[in-house]
Amino acid sequence: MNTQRLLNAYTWIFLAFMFAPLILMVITSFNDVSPPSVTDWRGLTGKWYAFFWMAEADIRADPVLRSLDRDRFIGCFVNSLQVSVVVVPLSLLLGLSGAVLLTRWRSRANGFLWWVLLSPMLAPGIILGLSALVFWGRLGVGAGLFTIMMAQVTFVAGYPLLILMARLQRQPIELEEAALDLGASPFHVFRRITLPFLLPALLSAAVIALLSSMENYNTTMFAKGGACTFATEIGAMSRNPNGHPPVINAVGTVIIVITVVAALTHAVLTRREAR
Amino acid sequence: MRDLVRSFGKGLTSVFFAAVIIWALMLIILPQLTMLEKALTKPLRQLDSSIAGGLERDAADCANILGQYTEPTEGAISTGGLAVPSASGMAVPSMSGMTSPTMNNTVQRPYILQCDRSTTRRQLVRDKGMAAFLDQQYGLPRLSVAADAPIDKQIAVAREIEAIAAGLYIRLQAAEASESQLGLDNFATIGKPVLIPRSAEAQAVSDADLSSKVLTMIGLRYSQDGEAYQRIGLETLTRTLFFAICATLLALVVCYPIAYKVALATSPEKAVWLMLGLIIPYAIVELMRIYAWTSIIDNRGLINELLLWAGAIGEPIQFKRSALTVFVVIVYTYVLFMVFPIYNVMSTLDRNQIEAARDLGASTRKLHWRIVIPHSKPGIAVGCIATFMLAAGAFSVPRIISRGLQSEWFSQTIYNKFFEVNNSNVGAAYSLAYTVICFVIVGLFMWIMRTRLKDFARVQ
Repeated sequence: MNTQRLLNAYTWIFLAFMFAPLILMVITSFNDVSPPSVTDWRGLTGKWYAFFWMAEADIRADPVLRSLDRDRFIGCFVNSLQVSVVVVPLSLLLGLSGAVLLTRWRSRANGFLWWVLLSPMLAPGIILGLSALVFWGRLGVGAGLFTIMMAQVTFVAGYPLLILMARLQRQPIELEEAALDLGASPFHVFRRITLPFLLPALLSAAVIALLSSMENYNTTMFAKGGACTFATEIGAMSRNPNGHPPVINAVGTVIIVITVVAALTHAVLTRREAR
Repeated sequence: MRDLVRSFGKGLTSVFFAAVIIWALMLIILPQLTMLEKALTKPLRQLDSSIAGGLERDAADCANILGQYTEPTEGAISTGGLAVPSASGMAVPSMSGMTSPTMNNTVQRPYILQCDRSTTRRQLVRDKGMAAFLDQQYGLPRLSVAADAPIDKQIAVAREIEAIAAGLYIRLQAAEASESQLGLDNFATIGKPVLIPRSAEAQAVSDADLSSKVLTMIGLRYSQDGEAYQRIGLETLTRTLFFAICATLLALVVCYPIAYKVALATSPEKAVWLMLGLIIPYAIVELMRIYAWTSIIDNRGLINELLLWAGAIGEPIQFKRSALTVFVVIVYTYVLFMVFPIYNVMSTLDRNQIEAARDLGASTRKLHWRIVIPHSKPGIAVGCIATFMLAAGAFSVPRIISRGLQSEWFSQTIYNKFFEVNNSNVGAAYSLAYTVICFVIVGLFMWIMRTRLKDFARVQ
């Protein structure tokens, strides 16, 4: 089995390629040097993490951290949360409506609806941000958090749409029919049968919508005006002429740890369920 | 429709319809139509009325500055620091009287930009080779503020120009409001050639470049009368699409074996862990995946330090200046969008089919060509489309990696048009043209691969 061994080796190389930059990121977040470096080791430090809770005076004493604006950073993160609080429920509602119409509505407009609703997922993200900016500007709404929300909902709603459609197509329609025949009102059927059936899909769609809203950079950059979000603020730090501060690597490490823990928990849970 | 009402009731059905209509109209269709309108509208500052308005402001500024200057002292003349930037800074500079008046001994005032620009012979924005001036076009008297006239005379002329320009501005604005300003000019700017000022040596170095030769061959670069011209917009567009297609092909070649390995060549228990290895880098925030590369490709990053230590190079290689680096990071960032669609379709293939083919003596190549690839075609198509669109629309990667040290991606060009030179009409034209081109490429690809849009729901 020579090809098998080759394939194994290739898979390992691929995984190494995917993980090596991330591992370097974790290492650099503990190195006491800015810009982050692995080759120039100046000793272990936790100050890139401590930045978020250390005293104001300590920050001012540090030559690198001094130039960073912690309050702005936290403010931008709060903005991101505000945006996703609107974007996630809204995109779940739009995605659910779209999924119901696309699976159940037998009409000639169906094909057209497919194209319209899926086009934001296909279009380059920058175009969605720009068109939201221009459109709402025309209506007299200035660029800011509102345009960010609108621009994000446009494509984020596509994820619940696809996830819920996959689930709806597998729904046993007999259950619904039986309930209707037994005299349940359609709303009652929807609340007691369809929604519980969709619940797992709704939850995973909500998680995906939340993540894509938080991490979105391309669309947000174009719609943001003077506002900022978590992603744009992180992106803006790359403009630092001396290279970006390792604080970003610390944030990245936290994100990596959260992701790994979440993925592991998910895998373990699904395995236990399978048994 | 009747089915819908029967299963969901009138109330819910109307909520669903309302939500979808709002989504489609307010978030997708109307914004694109507004973009189209903006793209077809002439930029405001190019209109004749804007130029007349600019002249009015310049003349008023000139008269005001001269008014403060009626009692000149010796010191004021020599400092000459009275030039105030005009509010209409974007107006076309006047073509007459550009020789510095301060050189002249008979000069009555220091150099004042606004006064130099206060002339009715102001150039209008017209197509190339068709010069037009305000005074000719609208039958104005030819007036300008002469620097050697007495100050009070100058003020009088400036006031006169101001009054004429103000009248013309109102007249033109009324006329422009009633006629349509739509046109395709903004789209034409994408292909507009731009003069590149270069020394002969720099030109020779640039010509020797392979990419330059190719670009010359397809007509995006040319030289005329010893001057080099580039169609910069079109060149950036071509380069971006070329790199995006390359990234897609590379991702396909890289990912196909991985998807096969996880879906079909591993026992299901092991496959769970392999999947985990793919999901973790996929789920990590996109920006962080990009930042992770900076410590590798920095001038004092991992690669350079290793090469320096090994003595292979004497000076760090400037990876940030190379378009290839952006290409590699784009592949790294978006490669996993190729794996999952292919994996999802491939894992539905019955493993017995592979066993059967092997038992019947099929070679590995034949096995893939006749069984695995045909089965996973929808996944391959969706993966290619997703990767292509992400790579073509990439904005974060070139922005963070290159930091403006190298030639732009088209998404950056659009950004600059909107936010740096403030020409949103041209920017809208660029972004619309870009969307259309990308959709045409995707549509062609879907037609060739016989993919339908419904495959997206099946594969994701």
